[in-house]
Amino acid sequence: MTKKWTSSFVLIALISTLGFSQNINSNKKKAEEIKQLMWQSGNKDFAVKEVPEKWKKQSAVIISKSTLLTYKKALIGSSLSHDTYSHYRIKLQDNSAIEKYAQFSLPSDGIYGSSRSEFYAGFKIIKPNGKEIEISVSEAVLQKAELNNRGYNEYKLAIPNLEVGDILDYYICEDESISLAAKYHSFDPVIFQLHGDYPIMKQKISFEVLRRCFINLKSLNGAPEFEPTEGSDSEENFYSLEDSDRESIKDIRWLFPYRELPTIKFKITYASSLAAAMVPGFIGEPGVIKSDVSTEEIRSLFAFIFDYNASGSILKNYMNKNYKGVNDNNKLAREAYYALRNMDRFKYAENRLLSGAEANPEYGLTNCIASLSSYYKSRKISHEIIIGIPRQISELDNLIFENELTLMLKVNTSKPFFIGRFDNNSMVDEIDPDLQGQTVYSTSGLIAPASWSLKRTNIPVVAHDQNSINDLYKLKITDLTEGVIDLDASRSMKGASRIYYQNLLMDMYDYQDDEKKRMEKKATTSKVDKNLIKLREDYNSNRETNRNKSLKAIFEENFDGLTVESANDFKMVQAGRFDDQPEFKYNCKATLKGGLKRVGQNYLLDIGKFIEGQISITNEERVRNYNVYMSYANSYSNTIELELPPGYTVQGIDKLTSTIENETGGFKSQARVENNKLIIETFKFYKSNYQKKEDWEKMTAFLDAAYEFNQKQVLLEKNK
Amino acid sequence: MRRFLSLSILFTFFLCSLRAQKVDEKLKEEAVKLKVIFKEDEIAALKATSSYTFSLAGSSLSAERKESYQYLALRSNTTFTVRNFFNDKTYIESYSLKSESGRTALHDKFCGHYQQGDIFYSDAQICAYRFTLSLPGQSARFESTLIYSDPRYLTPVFFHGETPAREREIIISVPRWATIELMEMNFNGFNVKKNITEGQDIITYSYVVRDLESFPDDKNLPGYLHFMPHILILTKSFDYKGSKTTILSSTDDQYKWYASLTSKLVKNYDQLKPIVTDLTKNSKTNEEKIKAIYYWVQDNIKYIAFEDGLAAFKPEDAHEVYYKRYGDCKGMANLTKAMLTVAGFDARLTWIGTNKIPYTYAIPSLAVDNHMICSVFDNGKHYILDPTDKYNPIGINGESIQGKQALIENNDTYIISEVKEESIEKYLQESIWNYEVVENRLIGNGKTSMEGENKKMVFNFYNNLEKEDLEKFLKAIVAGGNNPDDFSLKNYSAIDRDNQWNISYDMTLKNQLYLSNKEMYVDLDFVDDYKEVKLDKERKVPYKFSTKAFKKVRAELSIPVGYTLEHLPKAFRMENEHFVFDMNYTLVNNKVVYTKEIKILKNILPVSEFSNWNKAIAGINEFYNDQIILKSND
Repeated sequence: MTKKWTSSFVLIALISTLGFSQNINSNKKKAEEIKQLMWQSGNKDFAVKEVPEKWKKQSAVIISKSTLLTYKKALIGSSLSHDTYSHYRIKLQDNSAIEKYAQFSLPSDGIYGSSRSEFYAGFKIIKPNGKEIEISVSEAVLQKAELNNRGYNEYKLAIPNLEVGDILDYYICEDESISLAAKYHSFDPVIFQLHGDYPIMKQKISFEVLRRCFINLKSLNGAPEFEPTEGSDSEENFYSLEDSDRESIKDIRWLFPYRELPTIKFKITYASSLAAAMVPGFIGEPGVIKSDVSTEEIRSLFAFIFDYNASGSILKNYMNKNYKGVNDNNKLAREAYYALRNMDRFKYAENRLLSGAEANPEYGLTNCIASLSSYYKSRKISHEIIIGIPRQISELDNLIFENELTLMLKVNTSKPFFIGRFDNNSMVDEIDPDLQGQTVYSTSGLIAPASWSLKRTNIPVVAHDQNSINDLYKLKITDLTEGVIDLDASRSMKGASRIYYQNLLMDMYDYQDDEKKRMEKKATTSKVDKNLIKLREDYNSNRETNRNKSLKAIFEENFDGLTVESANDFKMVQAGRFDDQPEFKYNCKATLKGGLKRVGQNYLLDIGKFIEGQISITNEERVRNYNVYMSYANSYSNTIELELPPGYTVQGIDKLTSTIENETGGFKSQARVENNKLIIETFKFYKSNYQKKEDWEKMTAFLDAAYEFNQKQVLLEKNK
Repeated sequence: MRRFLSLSILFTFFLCSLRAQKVDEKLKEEAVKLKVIFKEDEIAALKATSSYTFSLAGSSLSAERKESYQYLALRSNTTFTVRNFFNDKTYIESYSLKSESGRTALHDKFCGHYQQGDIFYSDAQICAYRFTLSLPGQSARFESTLIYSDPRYLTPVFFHGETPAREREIIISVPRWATIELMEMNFNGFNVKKNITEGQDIITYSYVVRDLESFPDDKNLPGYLHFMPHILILTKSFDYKGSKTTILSSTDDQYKWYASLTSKLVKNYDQLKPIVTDLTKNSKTNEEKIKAIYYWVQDNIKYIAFEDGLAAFKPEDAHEVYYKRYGDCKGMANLTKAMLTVAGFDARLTWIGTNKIPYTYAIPSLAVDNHMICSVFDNGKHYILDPTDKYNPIGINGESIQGKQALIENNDTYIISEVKEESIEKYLQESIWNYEVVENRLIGNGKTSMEGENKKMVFNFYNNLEKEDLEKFLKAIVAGGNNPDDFSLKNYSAIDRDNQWNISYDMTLKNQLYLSNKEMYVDLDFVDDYKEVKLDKERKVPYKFSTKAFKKVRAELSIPVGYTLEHLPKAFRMENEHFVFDMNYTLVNNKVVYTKEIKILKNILPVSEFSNWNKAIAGINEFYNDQIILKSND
């Protein structure tokens, strides 16, 4: 029984109800107006009762769905009025749909910041015989919730008399009143996907916008366009989009929905012409739909951001002081990055760690880029500012919102490199995976933003061997009958593949000596505080135990089908925080069970389980209708060295050889016996971060081979 | 895009707050000591006291609970939330959370309704206070006063809490003018020091336990009342101005109160006549009529429970439940009773405690029951109908009420009857697999049939999964933990409570056969039930199985041409009053026959049985890990 949250996509979770605890439909006059609009406007789509034959076996079918968003001036005062009206008509065809739709949670009226919201709702059931029954919303019960004197109440409504075959026709509306401090307000951007969990017969999205507002809008991936509609009054423009016959779409592996599925995105901005000119952003002409962004607009936005952020003086002073006489630009450019990381991240790392805050949060990349650019400019080091959109959002030409953009730096020294990440463990030449393979804009960072000229360029896709995990697992069977196997693991991770493991297993105590040695010119020791020492003691007393828990969790996830009895003995070999030693390397031990089965005097060993658990492609998944998007190209190689127990030889290793390789990637495995050790080498790689759907079968070929290997066994045969 | 400057301000704040607190050396020592005893815990209560008193509020009796907890951080940066529960029958009169210095400790406060299980709406509320102690040895003191306006709702008092306690004390002060009995439950194994102080007006009972762990967080626990030490407070009566006022002193009183609530129910069932006539028109016997009505309520009334205030005890009127098509156990029981009454049967409301509760009605307390069902008497037969137990067949008692006492209305009085236990045969789940080796793969076909609680579970999914997902689910049921795509379904029966549920399938198993140069190893059991269900050595609390079970498997493998049988795994058998594991292989007419029988006879496994259980699991693991060996004739 799931709680049905309101369908409104506006963030209404944080609404204070100080002084308000009225039920839904508090303003009776307004409630009646809305009811008339929803149920008495003669809308033909909301009168339909039958669903097409092809969807009669679906759990539920959305007969009609309509969303209206209005952006108007309030009647009195200088407030804006933003209403979101959602109306659904859904036929419930099985019990799971009845369970979902028999209960609703509705937010309560309240104030948040400078805006106040009122909620209106109505529900009616249409029985198969045509009888309509209206549900009384005043029956909803209040679920109180108050945190530090701010209310987050909600109302829960159980729908009576709901049976399989019924149609539920309901609407949930929010009237938001926004008081303006200045003549500028940027409404939350809105993204609509035209497909959902249930098939949709008809859907409509419309918006009414004050003529002087600015509209940014884009229809993507085959979504229909918005049409302006006649009959609007002199104050507002009215646009709507109609769409029909959409199948339901369930969770699909490796899909970026905004790249493939019909999507609408838009944003409304209210601004006086003065405000519009001052605030940087992608503002077009009042009342005219803007669907494109020019390079000039992008340039202007970033000029503002860079001016706002441009300090860089701390870095400049530092570099000039500590690298006096150094003229190798390549060295200076790289060292500047590490210096910044030391000053902005390392300096505070211990306090963050001991205060219980997140140890390695993501922030500060833009600032980092601005500071570096400022320094590079002072040294005339050639570099480019890269501006792009993350690949999971869209292609460059579909840019429409300011917050869709992201930055990188490319430094053109004798050994060019990118700056794409900035955290405790990032290094030079890490290209943001979100931009790999994307077309982006680039401009010389040596000239002032006012003179920037944005040119298109492509960001390379980092090769799979740069995002790799290399494992050496030494196995020893310590108890054949009980099936206990000791593992001595040496792991090495590079590129994007190392990030998760560094964050889970490494803390600043592991690398502080190395950092201090390399950055010794910098001596940024903060005064040591008695409390700090106490916190350190406490942290250290639990450090080993916590680390072992993390090690165990990693192995449990990797060794699907085996039992991890224990994991310990972590030794970091290399931190992976500088580009001259880019791998994160560590050793550890574990004790495993569950991989051995006795057969008479011999034993079957589930050797395949000792490589990572592999993806099993279901029959359903073999038909692929969408292109394939992975986070980044990567590879995984594993060498297993199993010490053969005394008195035993291994049979069946010929079955461990396989090779599948094609343009999308591959899986290779081979085995041999050497010095009484069974040595197995496997290698799996995804060649790129993207594949066309036509090539899906090539991918499943090597994924299947890897999965088959996972199931393989060998026989340990007792010597006669 | 955060700014560098604002971040440094943030950190200065962190540093400042770290600097601000000092730690009492004695407390720090205590923290170190406690950390040794309670290794996994971040926070402990140095002293946790709950004190109960009774007083007169006008002419009624009310009770008050005062809590005083001194929390001590055992680690740095410990965040803890104290929870104070209340509802329409109780209210928090006051609370305070103070640091060692005596000033109010910085804390977040949340108050509101909370979700109890799958109850849609209840008056259950909580006030929660969240605070952080930065260094080990730092402490905070929590105090609160809760008033019970009606002490009949003050029932079990537990010793355990959300943190471990160095010293836990429960004090109950009973005035001499009140008859209040304290029942001590599950004290065995806990060193509870009891002290009684006889005062002139009040008798004070004090119970102290030292070094008490927090509530166990083990999985598969029986209801806490079964095994956690607690005191049941039975507020029976009190004297006021010379006369005695009864609260809850006997089962008679309890029933009287229940009856006072049900007497207010509407007894006019005219609205139900059409549906009852329609449902029973084709029924030939009385049992068929009862069944038609019972199954209709199960199928058509959703469980949406409103348990606020009196709604927690008073059933909803039958015609309301019928119209809304939803209700809780009381509403459904009342509707069933009403419909059966219309059909001419002697149907009665019946109160009962599920197996979460170990008590019987010998104890007069609201804690002894938590559920309502419907009883029907017909021709000397007593039917127990539980409409919340979806897909429960007529004549079979659901596991959660087996062996429990039922309190059945009988006009002004009541009948107590015991709900009979069902034999393990009613739980049978049987699979028959026929195998052969084809092109060095194990191919087969199978049939599985189900009864009992597992059958109900399957039917529940039948109706609640989206249609497209049902076959995926059924394949997963049949496959055990294996790849469902190795199985293809042939037939499965529709929902029919009164008969066995059957499913048949073909299978191509890739991982159950291994071919070496001269030998073939075969494993006929791809499910390996209970293989890894070993109980942790450290576990100190009983284990509750989700249901009793009876699983039977019979598999046959025709020995492939060119092979002879070389080895069969040694049989394993272990049996006691809690469980049976019996598995073996035999050779019959050139076929290897595998039979397995597993019974879980009782759904709670006591700690004393853990070593036997783990011995059994070790034995079946050895059995499962052994394979059939066929030797090639060449």
